[in-house]
Amino acid sequence: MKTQTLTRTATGLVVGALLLTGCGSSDSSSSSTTAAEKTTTTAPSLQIDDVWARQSPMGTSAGAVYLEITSPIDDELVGASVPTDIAGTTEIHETVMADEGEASTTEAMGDDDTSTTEMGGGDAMTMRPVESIELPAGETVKLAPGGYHIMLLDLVEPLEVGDTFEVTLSLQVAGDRTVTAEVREG
Amino acid sequence: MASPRDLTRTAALPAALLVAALLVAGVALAGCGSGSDAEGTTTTKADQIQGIVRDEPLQVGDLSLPEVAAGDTETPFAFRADDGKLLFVAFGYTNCPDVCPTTLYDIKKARKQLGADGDRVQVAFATVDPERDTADVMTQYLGSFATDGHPLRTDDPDQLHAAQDGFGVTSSVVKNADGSTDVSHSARSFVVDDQGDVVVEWSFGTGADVMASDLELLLAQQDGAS
Ligand SMILES: [Cu+2]
Repeated sequence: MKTQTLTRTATGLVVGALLLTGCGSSDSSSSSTTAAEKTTTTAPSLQIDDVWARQSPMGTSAGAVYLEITSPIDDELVGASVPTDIAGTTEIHETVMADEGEASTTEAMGDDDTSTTEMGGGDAMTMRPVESIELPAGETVKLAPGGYHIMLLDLVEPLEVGDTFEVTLSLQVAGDRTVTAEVREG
Repeated sequence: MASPRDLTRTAALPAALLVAALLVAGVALAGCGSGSDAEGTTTTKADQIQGIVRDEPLQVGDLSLPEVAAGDTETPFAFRADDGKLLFVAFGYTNCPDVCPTTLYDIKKARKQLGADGDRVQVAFATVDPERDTADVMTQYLGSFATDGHPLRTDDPDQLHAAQDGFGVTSSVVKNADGSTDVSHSARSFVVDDQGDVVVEWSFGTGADVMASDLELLLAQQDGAS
């Protein structure tokens, strides 16, 4: 995934805009300026990439939507919704360590020092609704497994690979944006 | 330009942009293609176990939970892999949209990466929320990740806790006044060998590549030992 950093840095808007086309799941208010005009001067627009939901395992009625969002200004994601034929309730959630304190990251890969760490149940996780997600200007905030997600409750039907559906994001400053989520295997 | 109506989708790109698109298409696709780049794992073949290995392995072979099947039949399932195999174990609940399916999908992918040896990795998933996770739900759910999986469920909290203690994990299920349920559980997963020893533990987000690499090494070790 070296390319990730590439896209996010200096190559800038042209690549950024094309990334959107690659995902087919974003909207941005940049419309018809040409690549040349866009290189340096134009203010960047709100960018929402890589919007996806996991295919529903059998037997569950809950789902999660993930995405990456970069706001050109300080903003906040304050709400999300999906059409009622997709899910009954939509909430913004965060997966967090269930116990405070000893939430140290003990993922020391293959290190011997792991034997000195207390390992009993220290990584219990839970999810909780959050009021909002901060979007600092220019920073790419990822909603990804193990962190933030848009929780879908009471799915009307299981989400299947290849399905797409609309997700409306409410931003404190920028207002509502509707993007398309794509269902993937995982 | 900012009216929502004007928000353009992909179709109206000028030709110049499309030319540029070809140049960076590789980049764009790489940026979008994979849903699970959060793990940031690499495919480099490691020569040592990357998960967590204890000096004194946990021994869980004498513990068991009921394995459920459609139609409410139950058979005791011991936490010990069949001869020459390894057993993956995770605790969770099916209404968990984030942590549990991520881990179960990773082990599914890891087994696939192992090719024929994938069959030498058994998969068990135990519910910490038996009230909502009925036998039928558990069977269906795990079937989405491993058709040969072992769904584990008990109505007896003591039995569940005994099993969790063996693995050093905890969980809690709290019902709220508004009807919602808060569940917390350890997001760690485990691999048990055919002696009932926990041979590696993986933190949440370890990813399929590291899992596959560890499993390959462990299977080879087990072959060498027998
Ligand atoms: Cu959630």
